[in-house]
Parts: sequence; C-alpha cells; structure tokens
Amino acid sequence: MSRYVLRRVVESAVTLILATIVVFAGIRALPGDPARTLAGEESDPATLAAIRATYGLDEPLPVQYLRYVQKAATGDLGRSPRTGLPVAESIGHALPVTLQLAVFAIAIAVLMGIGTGVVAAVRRRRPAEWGANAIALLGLSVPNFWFGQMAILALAIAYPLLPASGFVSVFEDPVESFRHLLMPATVLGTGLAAIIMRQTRSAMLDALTADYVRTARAKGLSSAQVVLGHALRNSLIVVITVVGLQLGALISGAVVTEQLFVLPGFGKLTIDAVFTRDYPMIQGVVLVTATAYIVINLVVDLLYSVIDPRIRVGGPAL
Amino acid sequence: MSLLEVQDLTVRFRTEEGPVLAVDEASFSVATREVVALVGESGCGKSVTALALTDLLPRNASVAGAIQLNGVRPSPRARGRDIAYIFQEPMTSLNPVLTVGRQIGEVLKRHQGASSRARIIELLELVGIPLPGRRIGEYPHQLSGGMRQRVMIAMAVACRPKLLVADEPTTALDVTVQAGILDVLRNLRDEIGTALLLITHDLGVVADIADRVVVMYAGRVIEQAGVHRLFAHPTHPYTRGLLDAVPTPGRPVLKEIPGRVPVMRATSDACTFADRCWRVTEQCRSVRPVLEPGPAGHPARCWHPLGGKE
Repeated sequence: MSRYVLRRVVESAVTLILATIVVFAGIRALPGDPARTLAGEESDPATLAAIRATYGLDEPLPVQYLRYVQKAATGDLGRSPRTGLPVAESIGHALPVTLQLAVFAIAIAVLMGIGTGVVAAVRRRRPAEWGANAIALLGLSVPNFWFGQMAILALAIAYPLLPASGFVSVFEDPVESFRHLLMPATVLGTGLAAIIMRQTRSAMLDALTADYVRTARAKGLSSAQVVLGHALRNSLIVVITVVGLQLGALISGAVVTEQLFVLPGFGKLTIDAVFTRDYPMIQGVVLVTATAYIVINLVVDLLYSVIDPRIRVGGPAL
Repeated sequence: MSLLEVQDLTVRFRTEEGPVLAVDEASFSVATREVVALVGESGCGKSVTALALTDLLPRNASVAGAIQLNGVRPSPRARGRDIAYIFQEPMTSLNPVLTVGRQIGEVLKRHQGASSRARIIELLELVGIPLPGRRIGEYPHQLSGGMRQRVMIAMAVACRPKLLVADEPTTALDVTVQAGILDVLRNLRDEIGTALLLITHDLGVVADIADRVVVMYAGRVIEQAGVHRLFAHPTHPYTRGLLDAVPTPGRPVLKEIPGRVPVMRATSDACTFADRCWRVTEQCRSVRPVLEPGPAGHPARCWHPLGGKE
C-alpha cells in the first residue's frame, strides 16, 4: 500500500516539474511582447528596456525559468505588471470562488448522475430508464451558456427566487452561499451529471449480470443491498475514473459559468490575464491549474485502491 | 415426507430468437439429509431448475409448476436461509471488492440479525480453511480457487440451510482440490444435516457422493434411481450413453453420444432424445414417452428401455 502511494507521489512530482517547463516555454513561444503590451505601442526603446529589466525579461530563458521555479517553490509567483499585485494574492482571492463552485457542481453531478444511472440500469426497458436517458441526452447536448441564461431568465428574472450574480463564501454565510451558487453549480454540473449517468448505467448493467450479484441474490439479500452494496460498489471504479477525467472539462466550463454569473473566480482571472499578456499571471494560473489536475489524478488513483483492493495489494487483474 | 418436492416444473424463456423451453414438466424430490445428483449435458436445464427453486431466474423467464419445501412454497426470504447455493465459478462468484468475512457476515446479519467475528471464523473452520483469523480480512483475489469455493460453501451454510444446491461446485477446480471440496460437502451433510442437490455432468463426482440420481435431458427428467442401481442398470439410452462416455480402466475407446442437445422451443409430442438415439422407432418420434418404471424397476422415460427384452 505505502509503496504504491510513494510511487504515485513521486510520479506526480515529476509530472509537475515537466508541467512547469511546458508552461514556461509555451507562454514565451506565443507571439507578442509583454513589455510592449505594458508600455503601449508607441513606447521608446529605453522604456521597454527598463520594463524588461524590472521584470527580469532581459535575462536568458533558462535563468528566467530557474528563478521562476525557485520563487514558485516558496509561494512567490511574481507580481502582475498589469495590476501591480502579487500573483499569488490574486489567485488566492479567485481560487476559493472556483473551488466552491466546482465542489458544489461535482456534488450535484455525482448525486444526479449516480442516482439516475442506477435507476436506469435497474429499471431497464421501462419508462424510468427512458426518462433518465432523455435527461442525460439533454444534459449533454444543451450548452452551458444557453442553459445558464435560461436559468437566469426563469429563476432570477421571471420568478426572482435566486440571485443572478455575485458570490458569497460558504464560510461566511452558508445559506446565502448556497443561494448564490445553486444556479451556477447546477448549470456547470449538468454536463458532468449526464456523463456520470451514462457511465454508471453501463457499469451497473454489467455488474447486475455478474456472478457475484447472482450470489448476493442467492444469499437472500434485499434488492437494495444487492444493487447498492454489491453492484454499485463494483461500478464506482468506472465512475471515479470518469469524474477524474472530466474535472478538467469542469474547470474550463467554470470559465464560461463564472462569466455568466459574474463570479470573481479563477476563470475570469485567466481570461483577463491572457488578453493582457500578463506573463506572471498566466504562468501562475496555468501552474495552479496543472497542479490541480495532477493532484486530482493522484487522488483518483489513490481512491481506486480504496475501492478496489486488487489494485492496493498488487494482485492479479481478474 | 420429502424435504423438497418439485412437481411439473416448467420454465420458459422469452429470447430475441424466440421462446425457449428450458425445463419441461420436471418432477423430482429430495429427502432430508439426502444427496441427490441432477445429471445431464450442458443445456439440459439442470441449472435453470436449480435457480427456479427460489425464483432466482432472470426476468425473461416464466416458471410454472409446484415447488414445495417442507410442504410450503419457499418465499424469497428462504433464499440463503432454507435453500442456499454454491455456484460453479468460485473465481467470479465472490464479490471482488468485499472481504471474505464481510461477505459471510452479510448472510448472518440478513437472516439471523447479527454476525460476529467468532461465528465467521467458526464457519471458515467448518469448511477447512486454515488460519481463518487471517483469511477473514482477505479479499477473494488473495485466495486460491479451492479456498474461494470453500468460502462460498461457508457462506451458503452460514444459516444451516435445509437444502444446499451446489451447481457444478467442482467443475472449475483441479482434481485434487475437487476431492477436498466433496469431502467438505459430505461432512456438512453429516454434521449439520443439510440435504444436497448436486448439479453436475461429472459421473465420477456422482458415484463419489450421491445417494440418488436424477437424469435430465433437453428439459425433461428422463430417468431416476439410486446411484448403485443407475450405474448398474441404466435404463434410458441417454443414461447409458453418459456412462459409456466415462473413461474406464481396461476400455480403451470412449463412446460418445452423437449430435448435441437440441434447444426446445415448445413442448413436443416426441422423445427429445429421438434424433440421437440408436434405438429410435416411429413411435419415439410421434408419441411423448412417459416416466414409468422400466425393466430394472426404477422410472425411465423411454419407449424402448434397456434391460428389457431386446
């Protein structure tokens, strides 16, 4: 067990280092000059040189990279030339917004997805399955921005039940936070819910015909015990994989959702940084995003071993 | 009175290729503490018969006929408590993500309201698993095939069922392991008085453990007798064919039964074995034979039973 964890942690660290190199090189490969963006198109060479010197842009790339890594390791992601604020501080403000939105959206997606997926598999070829399939199809095919606008029209304007915009942290006022995040999180979560539903359904259909489910029924267990305790438990590994893979899509989906509901989150920060060629800020947000991906992957892999003991002890795959 | 009484059991499946008649008016019984072997080739309806006893068949099956355990129809609650099962594939019949102890404990909790570590260890000991205190926390993939089958048996006998249905319990195992499993089953009959309905196509296993044999072919019961009588005086040509197909020292050539088990769509007014039988006549193809005592004294379903006048 511990060897497996250690190996995955080391692998993740290596991936993270590679990610910083790609981020660093990738941004510098983009056309455009940050000093010129900052100083304006008509600036003289002396001003440009001064700006480059201030932000270390005149040094060789390897030196810039090493300095960047050295500082990043201590939590210093540089200072944004655009806002003048430390990048880490801006990210520190934006990240909790996106995290709360994402966690809420995932919770909604998992509950809806697994619930409808199980129902669809158990009630196969009956109206309940058709209903669940129809909802999943809608969830997959309706784009976020349209669904979000319709939700605002319906629930914030026609029937003003929920606020259309703004953010309240769950740690300040849980009720208001719930009201503010319910609509964006639902909008963000439906696509994922649909994907989870389809995966759960097919994994459950497999599991329900498995020999061990016949054994469970032959033992006289109740339907709920058979379906939830035996079949669903075996299906979860597929579901976790999908959720893990889809979290990336969720982060990019959050960009749109945050714009729509005017949430001061990570997505908005990213868009602003890209449009102004704010190198330190882009580096910072991409680094944090990459770290998030890697950590999520690590967590998913470790979750596998909790759910499936065959991975934990390195037993043979059946 | 017998423990299990099955009368005219008929099972039909609706499939995409049309209806399938898997069991056709099968009748047999199992007495208390008796070991009855249900014998026949694959596709003869043995497993379907076993699953039908407690309504474990898939949804596309329809079951008719009377099944009585101690005079009453077994309720779904009887599963695992009065009638318990052991299946063929110990590799896939245990849930891979739950510990052995948990899977056994589940049965105890369900039917007796509580389960204890001591009781589970006792059950593991009963089926001959060494170091039960350690095995209890292990997962199925950490055990060998024979050990897994022993766990299946421990699970099945946890609530001291009146009838244990073992569907090909040794088929997937090595010969030496098979012998061990048969010993366990024999001991269980002696120690907790469980009757055993053993489904198998292995006549060696039948000779080893069974008291009585019910032979099935294409969904019908075609012969039944005590094990010694059946081996000594097979009456139905199919039973004879099965016995001839068993390797015997001193007989160099094995005889096989030509052809294969037909898939029955509907009940037919003919002997289902007619197409493979070397004694077939016009009567066999037009009139359904009845199960009646043959020349050797035990019932067989044949117009031209062996052992009579040739």
